[in-house]
Amino acid sequence: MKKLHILLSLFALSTLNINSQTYKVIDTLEYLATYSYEFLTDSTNKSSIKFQEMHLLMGQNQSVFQHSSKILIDSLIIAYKDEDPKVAFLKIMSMSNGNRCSLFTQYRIVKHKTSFNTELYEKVGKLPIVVKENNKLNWQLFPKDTIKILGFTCYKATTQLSGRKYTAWYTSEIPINDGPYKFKGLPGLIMKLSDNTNSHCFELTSLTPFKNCMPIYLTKENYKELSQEEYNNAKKVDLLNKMKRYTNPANSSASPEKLARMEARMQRENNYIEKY
Amino acid sequence: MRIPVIFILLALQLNTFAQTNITGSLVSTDGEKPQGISILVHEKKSKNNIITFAFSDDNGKFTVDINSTLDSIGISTRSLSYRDTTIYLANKNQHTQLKLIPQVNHIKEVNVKGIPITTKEDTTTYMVGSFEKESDESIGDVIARMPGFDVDTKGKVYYQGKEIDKYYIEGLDLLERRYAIANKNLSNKAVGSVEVLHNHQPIKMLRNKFFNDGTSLNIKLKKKYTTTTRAQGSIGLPFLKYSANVTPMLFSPKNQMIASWQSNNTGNDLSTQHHPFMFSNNEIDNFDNTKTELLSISSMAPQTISNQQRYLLNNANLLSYNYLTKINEDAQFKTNISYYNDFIEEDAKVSTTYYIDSDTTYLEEITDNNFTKNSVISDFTYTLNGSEKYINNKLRFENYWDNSRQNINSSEQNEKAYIPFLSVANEFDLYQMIGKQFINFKAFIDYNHAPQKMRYQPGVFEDYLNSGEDYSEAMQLFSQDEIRTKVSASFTFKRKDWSFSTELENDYSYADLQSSIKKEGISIATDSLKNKLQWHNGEAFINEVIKYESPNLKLRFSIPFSLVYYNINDQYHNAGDHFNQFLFKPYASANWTFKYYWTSSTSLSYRKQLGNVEDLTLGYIINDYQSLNQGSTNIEQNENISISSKLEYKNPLSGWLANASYKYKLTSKDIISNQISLGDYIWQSESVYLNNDKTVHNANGTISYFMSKWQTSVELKSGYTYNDYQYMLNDVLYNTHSNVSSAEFNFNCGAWRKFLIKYSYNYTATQQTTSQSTSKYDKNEHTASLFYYPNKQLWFNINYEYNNITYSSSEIETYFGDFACSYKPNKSKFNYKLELRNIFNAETLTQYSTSDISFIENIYYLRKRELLFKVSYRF
Repeated sequence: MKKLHILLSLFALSTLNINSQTYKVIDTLEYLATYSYEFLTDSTNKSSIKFQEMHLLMGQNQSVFQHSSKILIDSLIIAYKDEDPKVAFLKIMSMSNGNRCSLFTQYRIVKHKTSFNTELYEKVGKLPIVVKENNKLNWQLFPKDTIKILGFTCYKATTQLSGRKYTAWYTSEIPINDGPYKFKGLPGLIMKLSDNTNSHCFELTSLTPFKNCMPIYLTKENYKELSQEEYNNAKKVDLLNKMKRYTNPANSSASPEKLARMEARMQRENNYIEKY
Repeated sequence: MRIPVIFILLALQLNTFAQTNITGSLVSTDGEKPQGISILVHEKKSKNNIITFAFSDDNGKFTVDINSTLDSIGISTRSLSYRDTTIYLANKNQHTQLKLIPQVNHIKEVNVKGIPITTKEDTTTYMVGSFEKESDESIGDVIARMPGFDVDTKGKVYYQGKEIDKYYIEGLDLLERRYAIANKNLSNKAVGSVEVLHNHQPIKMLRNKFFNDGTSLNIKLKKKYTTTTRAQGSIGLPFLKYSANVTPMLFSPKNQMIASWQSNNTGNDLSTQHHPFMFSNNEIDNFDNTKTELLSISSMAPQTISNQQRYLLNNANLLSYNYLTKINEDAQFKTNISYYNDFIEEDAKVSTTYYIDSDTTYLEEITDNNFTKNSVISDFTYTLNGSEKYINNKLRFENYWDNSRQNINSSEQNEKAYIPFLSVANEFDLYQMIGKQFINFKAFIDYNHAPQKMRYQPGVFEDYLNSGEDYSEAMQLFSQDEIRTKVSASFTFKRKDWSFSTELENDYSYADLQSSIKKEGISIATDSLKNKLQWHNGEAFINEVIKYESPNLKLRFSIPFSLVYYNINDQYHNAGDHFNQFLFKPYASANWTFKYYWTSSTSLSYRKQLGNVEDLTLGYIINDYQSLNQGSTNIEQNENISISSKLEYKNPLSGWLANASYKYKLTSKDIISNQISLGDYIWQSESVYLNNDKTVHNANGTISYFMSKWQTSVELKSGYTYNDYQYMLNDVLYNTHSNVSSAEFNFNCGAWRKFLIKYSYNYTATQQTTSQSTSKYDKNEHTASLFYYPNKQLWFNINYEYNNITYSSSEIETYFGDFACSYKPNKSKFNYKLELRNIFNAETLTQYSTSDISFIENIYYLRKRELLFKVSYRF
């Protein structure tokens, strides 16, 4: 049973605290890239595939990689700031169109244009956290390997990040040094990226230029700094904790056998993009 | 040896020549230092043959190391804000400068489709084909995979953690809350897409006027006319265990039908599907409409094991038929009929030790119970869902012909209860627009009839009923007829973080209750053995609920006032009364989250309430062959105060989770039941006016730790409950108190991908102290379970359980074992499962319990060892 997704959704909702959210503008949006993100939550089970739509918001100096529901929710929260929170909530939820965020894509990743510093912002449970890293990726180029994606000639490049090997396809026809997740450092936008087990795949589905000075927001919080490993552990514990609340025998009629199978599944659904 | 040396030298030389370093700086014609510009080093003849690349730093400077034997190379810049510039250089160490001309390079909008989810306004459509997998059996399996959805084991659908409001098939709500039948049995191959209706307001006239945060689902079928069937069957040993489920369905634009037949004698309880209780807003819907049982044979079934399949000896059948027809675009008529039949057997050996006035006596009974259940529930619903008016009228008939029998010590004493029940209820719901406002009016009316009786063979209470002589049969007759009505309205007002809701309700009921005793078929005329009570009861109720919700603080106050009116007429006794009473039940709760990890919650409540009119039976009633009860002259009044408090700590960073809670409850009553021993283990009870209190203290604590490296969690729990109250025995008031302490250890390990290991240990110590005696017993339970999943098609499960229970010097041990294995071949419509239940063939389960005057040992006979083979198929 896909109890997990209830949890994920609860999580998504819990992060949507309208009046607690205060925002700061970190940049102005110039290009918005949309990536489809397919990943296996359980690497041994091909049917555990999840589909998420992700956004890469590129500004002049920084870019933010986040789930596609966030841009809308952020701007709506700001727009409905003075409304009755319940009404605002309903309006926002209705406009987010059922495109809700999975537990595995709750983060916002900020990358800086002229350095390799990345910051991952997220709320684990109720705690706002940040993971700061300097990810200078060592890319190997294969200029002879090319494919066409959306009419652009893309070149192959490979690299490694936290226990996985990745193949990226970038195009120098779009001279933006950026890409999905924490990936950047190629002379052109990364159009497609997947790890060699094919359990995490990003592919560009659209790219839109913006001219009307749309701000890029980041929530203002008192972020606690964690290492990537601490972050991964915290996510696992948080997930288990949410599952426990959900599987409380008092409010569940599931047989012990089914609960156990579900728990087993929860424990297998840990195919995080970064391995430790 | 010369050649290799030359070779090495040559190679070295080549190498030194191969690596060149070029540094450079970018200068813009407007004086800026371009940052973050892509610098591509490529072959002279083709810009596409990239050798290496770099980016300009904050000062517009760059460095490239070139591993190439080419004589000359090209260097190109690419960016969004400068014109693309290329220069050609000799491939040697050097410093160069590039002049860039500012120019905004536009990138054209790029778009592809190919997303299996499309959205239009408040409807999101999921194409089923994009989500389904070979292993899927029903549409429920596919829905479970869609983002944001979850389906539980009962087939209920949750979206974003909340149960969905409506489950439509082609826009029609055929099954209402019983939709799990379709979700679990409708083949995904018949479904084209699933529409998610966000903020769906089922009442058309309220759409676009009132927000509803609920979500509903609409199943779109591939074909206009669809028929599909699912079948499942199993057989097993000892001869013959079986279960079967056949669910045919038919869908057409004007009509829809789903029927289901289920049958089993394998311990699967079907009554839950017959009478599904629905939870909405944390309250049980439909609760008002439960069957009244005035007389009954008490079940001996174990309370302490949750796995019904260990003990439920049933023989159940369930037939359900659901049909919907569309009258026009707005109106429809629906029929839902469900028939349930069951025969349940129970065997137990019950030993009771009585402690009365310093005497200890002992009684052993071998009981053999059986329950025959037969009932029909039918709903006929008319719905008009127009843009100006909404009417929903549901007429419900419920009819039960249940009876149960108890045999004690192989027919030494025989009891048989006839418990029929008939209910006819109508629920009317109307929304009508008046200008821009609407009114909502709800009305409920129910008539129910319960002519119940219990037969005792041989006759009981000879001294009272037959001047001390033995006689062959006594019959207790007890009947109730009741009419209830309910009219209600509610309104909610919201302002920022505050919400105020007002509920108004008016209830009225009229009831007629009669009881009498027949001796060998002839009614006994004595007034003290008869009752005839009639009463009118009204209640006007207003409740104001105030809520405050901010991210870290939630407050809730409920302030209900009600005025209750009773007019009771007692024909034989003096319980008749006529009074008004004002009742108040305030409630307050607060929930506060602080420092991210901590949550504290506290609630306080006070309630003053009245007992039941049914307790005013001043004429004696035989409850069972050992007890004769007499009610009170006045309705009991009781007051309740309860306080509860909980503190939670959750730190996902460290993996520690803990909580502690405390509850206190004080109940004061003005009536106490006096138990009078008539000798030979028979009892008479009567009500005495005496203020008495019951105090309960309860404390619980949990601490758990999750080791993410080993995917293992360890949990420790402990609890303590203290109870103190008074009881009356042979006109003397006594005090009693009990202590229950418990400890639990849980271990759950998923360190290996294909295994899951679970172990839990539970210890409970119970002690009850009365002025006559102290009884004490301990219980230890060990449960271990192993799951093994070698691949997607196959899984195995082994369970082992060891219980031991000690009382004074005796110790009773029970062992349980179960094995299950399931196999689903790839791309097959079949699914196979083999189960071996109760491997060690444990025959009995022993349970202890205590009452004010006795200690009870219940040895219950369980289901024997069973082997089951199950096949499922769909077409």
